[in-house]
Amino acid sequence: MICWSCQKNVAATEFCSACGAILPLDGRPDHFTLIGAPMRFSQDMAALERRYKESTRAVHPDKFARADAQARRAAMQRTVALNEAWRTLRDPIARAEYLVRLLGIDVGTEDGTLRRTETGQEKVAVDPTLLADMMEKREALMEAREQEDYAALARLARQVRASYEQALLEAQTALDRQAAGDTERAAKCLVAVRYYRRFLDSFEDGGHASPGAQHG
Amino acid sequence: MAEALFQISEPGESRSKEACKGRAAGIDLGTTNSLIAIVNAGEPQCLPDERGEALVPSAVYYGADGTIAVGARARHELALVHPKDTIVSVKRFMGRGPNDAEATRKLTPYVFAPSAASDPVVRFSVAQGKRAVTPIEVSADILRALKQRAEAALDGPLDGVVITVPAYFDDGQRQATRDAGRLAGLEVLRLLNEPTAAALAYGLDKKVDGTFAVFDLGGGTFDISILVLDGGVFEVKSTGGDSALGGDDFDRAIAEVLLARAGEDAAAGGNAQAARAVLDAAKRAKEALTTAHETPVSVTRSDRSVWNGVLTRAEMEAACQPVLNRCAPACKQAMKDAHITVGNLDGVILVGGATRMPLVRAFVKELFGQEPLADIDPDQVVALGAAVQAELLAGGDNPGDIVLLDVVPLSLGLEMMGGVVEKLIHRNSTVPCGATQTFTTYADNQTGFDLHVVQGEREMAHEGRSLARFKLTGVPPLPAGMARLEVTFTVDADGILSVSAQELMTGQVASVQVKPSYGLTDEEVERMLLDSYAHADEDVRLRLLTEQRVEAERILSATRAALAATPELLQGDELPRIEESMAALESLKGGTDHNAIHKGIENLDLTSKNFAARRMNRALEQGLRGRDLGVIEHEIEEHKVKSHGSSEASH
Repeated sequence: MICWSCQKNVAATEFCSACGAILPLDGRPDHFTLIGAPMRFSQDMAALERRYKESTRAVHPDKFARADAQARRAAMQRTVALNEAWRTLRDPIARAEYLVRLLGIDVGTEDGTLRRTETGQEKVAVDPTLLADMMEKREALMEAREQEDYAALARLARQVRASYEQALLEAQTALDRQAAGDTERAAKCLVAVRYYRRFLDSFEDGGHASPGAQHG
Repeated sequence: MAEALFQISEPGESRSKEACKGRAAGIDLGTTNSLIAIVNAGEPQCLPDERGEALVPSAVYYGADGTIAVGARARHELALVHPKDTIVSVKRFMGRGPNDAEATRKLTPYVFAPSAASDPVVRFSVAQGKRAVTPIEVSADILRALKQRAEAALDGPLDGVVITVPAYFDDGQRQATRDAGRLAGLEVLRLLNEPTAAALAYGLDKKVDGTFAVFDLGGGTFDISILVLDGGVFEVKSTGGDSALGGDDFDRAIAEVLLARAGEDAAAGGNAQAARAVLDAAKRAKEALTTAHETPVSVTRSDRSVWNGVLTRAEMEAACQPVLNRCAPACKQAMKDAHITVGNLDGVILVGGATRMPLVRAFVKELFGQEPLADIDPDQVVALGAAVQAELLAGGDNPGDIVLLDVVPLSLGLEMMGGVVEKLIHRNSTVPCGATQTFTTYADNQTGFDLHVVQGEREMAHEGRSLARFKLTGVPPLPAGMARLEVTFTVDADGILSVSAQELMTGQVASVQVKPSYGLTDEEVERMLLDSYAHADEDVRLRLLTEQRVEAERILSATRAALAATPELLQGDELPRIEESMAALESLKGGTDHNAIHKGIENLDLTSKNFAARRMNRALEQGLRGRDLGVIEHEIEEHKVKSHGSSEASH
């Protein structure tokens, strides 16, 4: 890219190799590339955090409080991107969902997943057995609440937490293995993780959150 | 004008670090007291007045004759005689609208200037009704006094400041603080969260790593923050609090007890002078009871009779306990958000004058299970930390490896259909941070969108705090659903939001109109808009320059190629004239005036026009007959682009 400061054509790194000015990001690099981590699920978290902090130290707006507007903008843009990358990669669920999205499947939607295809996107519906299971558990939850059956409530929470952890583990294993069909498998597990998570959240909130309350 | 504007953006033009050294200060703009501090020989220190007093009471008196008095005299003398014309605790009103202020009006002596419901700012009627001032102006007057103090001490102008704000301050309150700084003629390098400033003062002092809670109970605000100090990186893990809870509330609670015991009706309001007097009596009693176990108190009743009595510490504490209890949920939430328990805490730092109260210390000790740290004066610690940060930002010689990673105190969201809030930036996200959201037009040729930004944790827009309404205009007219508008929200290191938008189909940048819901006068908004235009101007200028340079390069290389390919088509004195134009453009290209470059391009176009036309005819004659002229023109264009590309690569 052309350095805004010295006008030389230099490599798109953090700082201009010719004059040392901070350079804006070239396009939108993915979170792994930005932090400098391998694009996979398993991460050396200590190394990841170290790299995030080192990069932040170098480009943080505080270092450019008195620099000119372009340097300040570049520092802000880079730090915003680094913070977003670190926020996503530090959290196992967010990292897994992000990785799956980079691999072509978007887990973000309420009613299943979107798979990137050659012509656009196709919707993949939620596994009906998962839906049926969740419906059953919600009924059990309501019933236990009504009858103030705390043993049943605790049992239910334990069950769902176990399913949640199991699904997350399966997703992670699939993502690290990367065999044929593993991205789809991981995506399916991550959809389940979302359902379990919401169920557990509604537990903690005292049950005020109803299914689907997340979107109006 | 144009020249001056361009100078601002000239690369490498930033001021020399040497010139700024020692000229940056930290300011704690407090509810009750304000302080200014600088770093001197590596040590932060608060600047005292001639009597050795570092605290400047945050009180401003506006006289009918135009006099303005700030500080001790305003607080201790004028506030008693002219309660309506002396504004104290103005911080409570920063970034607040008239409706918000209603809640804080109780037991305040002020007269509020009448304002329309749509007025985004409170105005105090002062100077015996001759003037209406906004909280921003009052704060600016306090800042001016601090600035004068620092400039006298430094024997020179102050070059930049860091002003602290409660971590829990919302966008409007931060905007108001930054505007007050600008109004006072200060360059605000950064708004720094008070707890972070306190941790900075302690962290540098103790040079330890670990997890700390900062419990900050000031005059009017309560903050709790959990920070991790790790090898010079100060990372705020979570923050919470209440921007309308502080020592003043203790005074108010005690005052209510005193009034009740004197047989007066607190709700009636009474006259302003009496209200001020009873609040002061309450404050004095509270301070006395920090060490004493009982203190004499007196209240002048509305019938001018005087009630005398004794207040014990136990009675005072009973009145204050309910106020203090309001701190507990925020502390627990902050620890939960930081994923820690009291067992993980390496220390609890006390900030704010109210933490001197034995009741507060006992409360903190019980809540966090350990004796809190208080070895730096809780009144000064924030200003000291701010001075350290100011020095770092101004490029002083402090260890350059310190970085503050602060967070957004409240989630930011957009009101969607049906009033539901869609959160874009979650609370406790590290700043600066951003989020993008894509919108699609729902009507043919729709050229604008209205967006409503809300701050807070609630699900519905009307439950949160309205921050601003944005009008996006200049969307290119396209069929419904075709225009896709990408809106980017950015929260900067000061915790202040900005919005930009771009249409994805055309790459056209939509303009964003800001209508803040609170805090700024029309003039302020106007100035903000002027500022943004100034920046836009700067950006546009650079873009035009780059475009013209590229265009000049393109036409120069195309002409060179044409001259080399078909010299036989030149007629008369065409060659020297074209060469002259080329030389002229070549030298203009190195300059910074995009208009001049553009004229140079037009000039070269003109001198080579006939030559180019003959080349076109030749091309037609050479067996390209029968093909569409457009295709040929296209090919020639292609050729130009290619030659431009190769010339670019050779650079």
